[in-house]
Amino acid sequence: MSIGTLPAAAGTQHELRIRALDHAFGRDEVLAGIDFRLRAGEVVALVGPSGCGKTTLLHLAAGLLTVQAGEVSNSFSSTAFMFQQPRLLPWKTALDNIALGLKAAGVGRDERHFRARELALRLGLAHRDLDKFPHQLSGGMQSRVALARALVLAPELLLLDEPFSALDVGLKEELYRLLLAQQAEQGMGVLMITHDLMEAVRLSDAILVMAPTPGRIVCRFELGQPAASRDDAWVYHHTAELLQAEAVRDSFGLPPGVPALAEVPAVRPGAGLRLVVPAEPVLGARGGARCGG
Amino acid sequence: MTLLRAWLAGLPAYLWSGWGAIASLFLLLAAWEAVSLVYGPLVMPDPRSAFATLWALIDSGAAWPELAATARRALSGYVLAVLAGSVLGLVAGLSMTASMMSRPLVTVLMGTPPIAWLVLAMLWFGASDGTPVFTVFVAAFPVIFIGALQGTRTLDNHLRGMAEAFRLPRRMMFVDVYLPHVVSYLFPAWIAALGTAWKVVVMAELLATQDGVGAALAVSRSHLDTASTMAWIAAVVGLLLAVEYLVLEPIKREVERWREQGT
Amino acid sequence: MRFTTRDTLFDQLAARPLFMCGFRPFFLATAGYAVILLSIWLGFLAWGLGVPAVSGGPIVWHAYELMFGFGLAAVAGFLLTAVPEFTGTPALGRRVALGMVLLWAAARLAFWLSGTLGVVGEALAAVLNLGFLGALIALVAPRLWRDPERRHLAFLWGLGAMWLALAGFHADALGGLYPMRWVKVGVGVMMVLIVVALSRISMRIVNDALDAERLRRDGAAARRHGEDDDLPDYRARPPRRNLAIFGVALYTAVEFVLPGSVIAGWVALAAAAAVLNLLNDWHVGRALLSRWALMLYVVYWLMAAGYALSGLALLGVPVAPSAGLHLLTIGAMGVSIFGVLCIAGRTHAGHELDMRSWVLLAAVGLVVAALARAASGLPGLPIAGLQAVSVAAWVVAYGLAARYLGAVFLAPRPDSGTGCEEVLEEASPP
Repeated sequence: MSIGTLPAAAGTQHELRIRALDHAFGRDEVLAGIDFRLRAGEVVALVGPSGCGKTTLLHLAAGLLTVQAGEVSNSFSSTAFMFQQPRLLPWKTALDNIALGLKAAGVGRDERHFRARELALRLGLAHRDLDKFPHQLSGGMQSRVALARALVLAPELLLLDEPFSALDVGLKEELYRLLLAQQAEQGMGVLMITHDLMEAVRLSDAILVMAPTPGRIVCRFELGQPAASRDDAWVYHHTAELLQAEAVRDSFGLPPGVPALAEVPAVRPGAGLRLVVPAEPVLGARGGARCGG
Repeated sequence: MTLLRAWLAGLPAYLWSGWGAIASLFLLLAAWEAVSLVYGPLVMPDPRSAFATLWALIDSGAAWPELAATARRALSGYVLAVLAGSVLGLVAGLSMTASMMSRPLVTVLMGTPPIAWLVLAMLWFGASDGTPVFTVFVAAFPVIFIGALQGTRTLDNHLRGMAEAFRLPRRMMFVDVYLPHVVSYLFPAWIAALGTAWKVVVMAELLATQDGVGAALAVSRSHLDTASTMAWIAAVVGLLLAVEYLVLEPIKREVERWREQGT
Repeated sequence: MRFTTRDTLFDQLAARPLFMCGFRPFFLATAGYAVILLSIWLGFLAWGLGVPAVSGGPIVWHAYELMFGFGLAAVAGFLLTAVPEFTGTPALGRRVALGMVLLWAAARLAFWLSGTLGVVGEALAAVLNLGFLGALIALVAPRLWRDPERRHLAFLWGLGAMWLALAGFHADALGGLYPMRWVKVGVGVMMVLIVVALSRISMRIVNDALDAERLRRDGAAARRHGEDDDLPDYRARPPRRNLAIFGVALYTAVEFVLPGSVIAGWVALAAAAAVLNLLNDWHVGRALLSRWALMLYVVYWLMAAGYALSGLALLGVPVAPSAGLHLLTIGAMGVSIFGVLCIAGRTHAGHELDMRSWVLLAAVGLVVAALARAASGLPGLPIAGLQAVSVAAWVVAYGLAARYLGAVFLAPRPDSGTGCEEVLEEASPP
């Protein structure tokens, strides 16, 4: 299945469905009325300013927090999580860290080491890195280990919490490539948090823009071109375009954009951004009214 | 098994790194020699006669029963303290309330001088083994308790979250996440407590028992026999150094290899 | 007119390849003088032939000349070459090389004659020997001092201490005292200088050996190693070196103030342990077994054994005090000077390191000489025979060095170099 194809047509049953989700920590309302759906093979990015409840939403989706109101239904058979920090067990070697999830799933020692090693090598770790402890690895290597730890489970759904935010540009690009390759191969659903719009434009099929207090989804963008075939120019162009969208500027607290630019629909047919109002009942539908307008 | 092999492989380098410590110890002996030269053998016998006396004690078989009695008492008290301190510290660490409550109690325990406990123990247990064992226990317990408490309190929430996200079963949660972390706090506490136990037991014996190294020290003091006094001190210190540097420290290094600072 | 002629003669001499760089005449003198001194000493030991009469007797002559004649020639050769290189300053030039070696020779002559010329001879020997070492200090001190980080000041302190030892010796000799204690101070200072110099040389030798080992292990794929290499680079770390220097210096001081005391014995054992502690840095696996790394490594073992034996003798173990001392001098000093002659002598003359077997033969000879001399101090072993073996092995070893290295020092460079440069890559365009 090509990644470019929007899964609405694919008709797979596996999906992450979030309906009318509210969440509060004490008296603070963190999330209100979250509604979206993520299907197999789809990459969805949650963007929004710090403190808008992205991480809470992700933790609810992962089942790390108890749902208070609304519904989270995850019909994917396996889910893996990659955190903002590598969160490696410092007393385990890189290899054992990668194999941690397999061990938890009851995979035998030889088998899990074999699979962990194989994937680690594909992600650019060297044999001798695998015997090292996390503190002996550079930050980039630690991120690779963390990514490998999630991917080695061959999850149907991968949840990413700003996993690349602390890395340099070159390393980010490489890990994007590795991630997309794995995603294409396995047909994973990916839900990722980021506050880096370019990262969202680079990787996702759909971008959900969140606004704070309380955290809510204010609009949804869909990206036509398959992620694998997006070049830098495409990404820059559409990131700039995204930045001009009123909802995005509102959400990040930016002053209103230059109207002329914002009004120009720089969307190339079939390849650009499509904006969807969240209230619209049919998810994944194309076209529609202007966000926040 | 791998642990054992790694330990054996690292042993030569570890032992070799002991030369620096040996150099310092020789300098200490030189200083000792200098003191004995200045103040005369009555105040401070020179190291060689102390070692000769010690050798004579060992050779004649007189040293072993005393050392064995001392070791028995120290280890009894120490093992009790390790068990009670570790378990209670872990349990207290799990609950915020319990750790808040226990801190001042431990401070009281730590702050009371061992000699005070010794006096109480002599009243309670008389001249039996109970006196030194209890004193050792009371001196070593808070050190271990604090270690265990710290270990549990400082468990990283991030790692716990990670472990939950990867659906680690309870047993793995304990063995792979909690235990290594807690042990890295407990082990140094155990080692520190062993030193305390060894010191306190000699003091307790000096005042409260008829046998053991402490009692032997009391006898040599009453005879103004400084050579055997120093011989016994050398034996006690030597044993502690041997246990700590030949047994505990290598194990600690291996267990905490993951903690080593980057190369 | 006479001045001009003499200058011309001096310049003509200085123009010879032997004076191209400071180490050349001095290293040749070191090797040659080692042979001469011990040949004379063998004659004295075996057949009772005379040695130059100096105040204090034959043993003082033997000790003084080996320490301050042979030893300081090597030190001078090393520092005249190494200090400009370490500090990135211009080479010292041919005239300095020739002048210094002439001063050294005059100092030797003066000491040999010091017994026969009376007080004047004593004074002349003192002036020339102190003058020679003073001149060496004057040549290197400004460069060591002006180095931005002053990383190599240890050499300067060592030279200063050596000068004081030499001055003390001559003061005792002029005052009619037995001056041997100052030679022992000189031995201690020499050990410190060896530790300092080897820390510099080993950085290169051991890491070259590690590179070779990586190459052997990884085959032709000579990848550049990084931090994550499982064979980490060798680093001569200061803390352990400083502990060893402290131990040696403290023993030297205590032995000087309280000669023969048990306190000095314990400190000697501490020094031995501190030197062994230094070897922690050296245990780098198979690479240690390569020729040059092993040669330098053995120096520390001999040094540690020397101090250990000295310490045991002071603590009352029946060992002659001279046994440990000779492990230091014949062993640590003899082997390290031989190593420096081979390594610095060849590379700074434009040659690659010598992989021929005479090097091994000579190195083994020196170790045998040290062990045999030490063994002669153990109870129940044949003293005369072992000492003869020791002297003979030493003469053979330094004879080989004089023969094979002398040829290098006397000849022009094989490459286009004109001074002290290391081997120049002829293939690369200028």
